[in-house]
Amino acid sequence: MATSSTRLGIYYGVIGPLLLFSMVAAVGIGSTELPWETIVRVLGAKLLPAGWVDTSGITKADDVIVWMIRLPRALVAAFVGAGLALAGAVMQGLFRNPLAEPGLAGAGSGAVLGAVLAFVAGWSATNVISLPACAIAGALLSLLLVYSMATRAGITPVSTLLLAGIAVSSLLTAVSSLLLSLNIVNWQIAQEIVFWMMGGLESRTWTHVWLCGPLVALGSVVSVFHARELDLMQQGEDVAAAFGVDVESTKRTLILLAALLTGASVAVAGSVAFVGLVVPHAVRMVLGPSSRTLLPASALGGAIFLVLCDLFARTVDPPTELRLGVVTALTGGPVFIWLLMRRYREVSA
Amino acid sequence: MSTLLEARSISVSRGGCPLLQEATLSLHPSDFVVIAGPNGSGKSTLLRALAGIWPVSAGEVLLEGQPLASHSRRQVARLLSYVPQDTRMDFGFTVREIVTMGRHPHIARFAAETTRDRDAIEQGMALCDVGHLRNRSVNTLSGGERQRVLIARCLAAEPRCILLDEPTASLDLEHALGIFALAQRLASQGRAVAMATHDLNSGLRFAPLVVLLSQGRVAHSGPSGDALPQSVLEQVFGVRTERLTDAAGAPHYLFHRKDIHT
Repeated sequence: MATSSTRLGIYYGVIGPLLLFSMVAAVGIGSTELPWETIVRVLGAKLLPAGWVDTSGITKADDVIVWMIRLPRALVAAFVGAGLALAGAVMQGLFRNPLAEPGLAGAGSGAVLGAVLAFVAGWSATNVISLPACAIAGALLSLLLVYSMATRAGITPVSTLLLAGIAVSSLLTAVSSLLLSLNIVNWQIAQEIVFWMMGGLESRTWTHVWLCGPLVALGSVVSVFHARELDLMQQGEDVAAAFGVDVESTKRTLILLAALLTGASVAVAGSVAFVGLVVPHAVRMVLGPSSRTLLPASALGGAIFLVLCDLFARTVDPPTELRLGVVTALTGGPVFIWLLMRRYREVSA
Repeated sequence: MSTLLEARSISVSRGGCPLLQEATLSLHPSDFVVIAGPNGSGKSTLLRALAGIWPVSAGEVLLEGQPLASHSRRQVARLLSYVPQDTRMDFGFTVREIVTMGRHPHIARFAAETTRDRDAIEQGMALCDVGHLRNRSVNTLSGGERQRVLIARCLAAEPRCILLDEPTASLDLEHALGIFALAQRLASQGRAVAMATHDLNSGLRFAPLVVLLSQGRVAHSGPSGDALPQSVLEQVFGVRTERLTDAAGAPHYLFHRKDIHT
């Protein structure tokens, strides 16, 4: 026990300050160089009671850059990273498969299709809420489709769920691609769709923070309260049932939770690859598989990973921004391949 | 003596296929019953139905005199514990974490582990002699150690009744005998133990009671000693038997193919 609690202490001792550091870096670094003092004073003026902070010398531009541009963007990155990592950890446990990803049961491709529809129909241009709403609705509807396809007489085997999820995902992805190709002549819409499919956080506002933040917070709480059930589900459904878990209702709750988190993430960031796959896996290798430590630790790890990836994406070659999904895939992809090879070696050994 | 767990003429069907028909069985405190029969005779099905994991299509299972269905899953899990045959584990949980999972039916959703829970976990590990492995990952254990950990997990729930599905299936002689002796000890402490097994000789030697299944029906049920008719064994398993008596006077069997006479 001593070793695992020491590891946990070290993990949070490193990860806590690292999250703070990455958030500070994300707010402090950008194309416009701002003195640290200005940044601290803008934040102080917003967060502390009026009159506590001297606001003389802070221009409207400083205020906009720190409070309206960089901070919401960093917060959205943190919430999306946390949400995807959490959803990934839940799905990997539920499917008893360390290579499962958040959108596995159809939620990921459903959310993308919802967003694509919002672009094509022109809703996204008229109302800032319509795109995220369509993405979340798409995630939930496709989950519903997959779940009802896989359920017979109130029982939903995870193996069937997996197959139905893969089938529906490829179908919905094909529909998204079809809509894209039909609109390729309308370059503005096509560009928006392509960028969305590669994920990104440019011009995110406090509206986006409020769209994903509460959902991710809710998801964290609900999933941590299901940690023991999730551990038992990994022992097999017979075992979980034998130890008092209501297997089908737990499965429903957790899959819905993962779909909501995935939908909320795609809604504000587009599709961002590999975070939900790689982060929980990496955390599991350090801290072990127990959900009570894995879930919160993955959420924090995912938040840091995405904040840093986004910082890299917008600062490596200004004023061009790399797509966030490209950065996460370029860093996560090699890790994923390494995991696959390792697993393959384990299986063949 | 009061009956702990009772199957009254239960039948189980899965996907339209009858797996178990009109099986009757009762378990009392301190009973140790071995359930034997050829592959597909319904051993695992019977255990799953007794544990309430598979629903019965006819008849009923009574736990402490009450229909199993009238208890919540958590209530059932506090009274009876089931160790399935499949012991595949993908993630490297530690032994302590695995055994702790057995405590689940006693811990409310928002509650933390209490001293009472920790005592039950320690006791479960001590009874199965796995305390020294507590920080090891279950993936690094031998088959015998892993099986003992799974039994420790079910003891952590402090059940009155334990159902084991072929716990010795992949074990060597020494470890298999160790599991039989452990099951015998658990029964002698007042629990009811039912164990499905293919190791007929060990089963008959350690368990005072035997249930033989054949094609989804109970073919025989009674004491495992001299009173067990050889003809029933031959009929159930489709083999010819030769009965020997060991130094302690207990019966043992040799099995021969029916069509080969030596």
